[in-house]
Amino acid sequence: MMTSQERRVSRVGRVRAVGAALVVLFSLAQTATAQATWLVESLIPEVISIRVPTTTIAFSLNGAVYPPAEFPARYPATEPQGGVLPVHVFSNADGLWHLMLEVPDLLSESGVEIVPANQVLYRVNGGIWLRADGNSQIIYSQAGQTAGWHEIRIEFALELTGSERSGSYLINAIVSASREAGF
Amino acid sequence: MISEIRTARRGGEPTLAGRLHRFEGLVLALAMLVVASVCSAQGVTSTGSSHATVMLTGHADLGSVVSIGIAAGTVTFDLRGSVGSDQVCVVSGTSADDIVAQPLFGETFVRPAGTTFRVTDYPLLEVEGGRQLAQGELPVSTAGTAIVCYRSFELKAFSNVVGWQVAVDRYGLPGADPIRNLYLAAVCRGEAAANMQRIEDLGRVSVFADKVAGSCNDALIVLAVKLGGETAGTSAAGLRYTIVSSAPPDVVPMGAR
Repeated sequence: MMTSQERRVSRVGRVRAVGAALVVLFSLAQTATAQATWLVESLIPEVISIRVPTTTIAFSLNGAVYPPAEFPARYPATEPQGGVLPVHVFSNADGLWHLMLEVPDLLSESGVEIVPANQVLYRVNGGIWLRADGNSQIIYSQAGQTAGWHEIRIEFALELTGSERSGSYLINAIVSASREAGF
Repeated sequence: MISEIRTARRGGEPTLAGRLHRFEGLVLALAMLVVASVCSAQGVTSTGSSHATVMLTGHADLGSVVSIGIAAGTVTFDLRGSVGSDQVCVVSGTSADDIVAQPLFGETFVRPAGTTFRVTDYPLLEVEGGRQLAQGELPVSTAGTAIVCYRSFELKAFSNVVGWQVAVDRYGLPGADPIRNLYLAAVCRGEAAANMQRIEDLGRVSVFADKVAGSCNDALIVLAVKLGGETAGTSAAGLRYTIVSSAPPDVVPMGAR
């Protein structure tokens, strides 16, 4: 049978022993952290990206501008504003990349009338006007990665010959960016 | 559009302000969030390892429009034997009109006193039938013959709707005798000839009724007069040109531009 003093001494002893063990463990832990080697990997994916501020192209002609004094006549797109579509391309890898544009024939809502694709004109960064032809056309090329987003400005115009029936015609345009695997 | 035809013959502890400022900052931040989300909703981004594509769609809206314009307000046939006139006059050996075709319904096409015209080098005309009067020669006809004079002017007619035509209405002009025999034809650019129709006082003829949209934007209106015993002085007729389509159009006067 232990006296109360013996029990107090015994308890103090256990506390000291636990404390000593913790000190040893803490020291061991400090030693282990200092000696560990961590492998840090930073993986940036290889991408090509394209972005446009709007996905709508429109040519709205009313009696104030149509018909013109002479045919054929060209009309800039009324949407996007100013008829110019800023296309941003980002590429972070080596290799030649292209920007391509495909404009099919314009089809009326009834599906009967068409405006041929070659009556849609475009120009890139203020260059010469070119005609769409219904197929995918390379309109811009550049080698290497872009420094951030690279802006390419595409202007659209519609040429009317006077033989187009009145109505609303659907326009589709596909803008693609593609990078070749390497030189 | 109206034109006149005239023939002339001789004769801290945050203060209240501080709290408000923070509050405004919060509102501003929320507002920027909203704007950013709207912007991203309008645009589109596509990303791939070697290829990315975005699809643009839209529409071209062509309203229904008819438009008409004429290059001459007044067309004058000067029959005083003046030199330098660009009219073409002939003396025909017959005074009666030849009927070219008379469909069951519609127009009657004629050859004024057996004459007709052909567009040789647009817009120049060549009159066929009869003997052409020399420059300065007076238009004097004898019994059984007739003097027929031709002139033309350009007309621009545009329609992008189906079923259109130009109606020409004749009306009288106060203070002038009416022209007795007046004929009219319309020739699209690129065509060589067209049949003439006689247009009576207060009468109406239609031209271009068989033309599809956009096929005849530039045309010549050819007018002919056959002298028919008018007195000396000026004889006149007013012609009103109206383009009509089967669809309700936005009518635009070409002269307004």
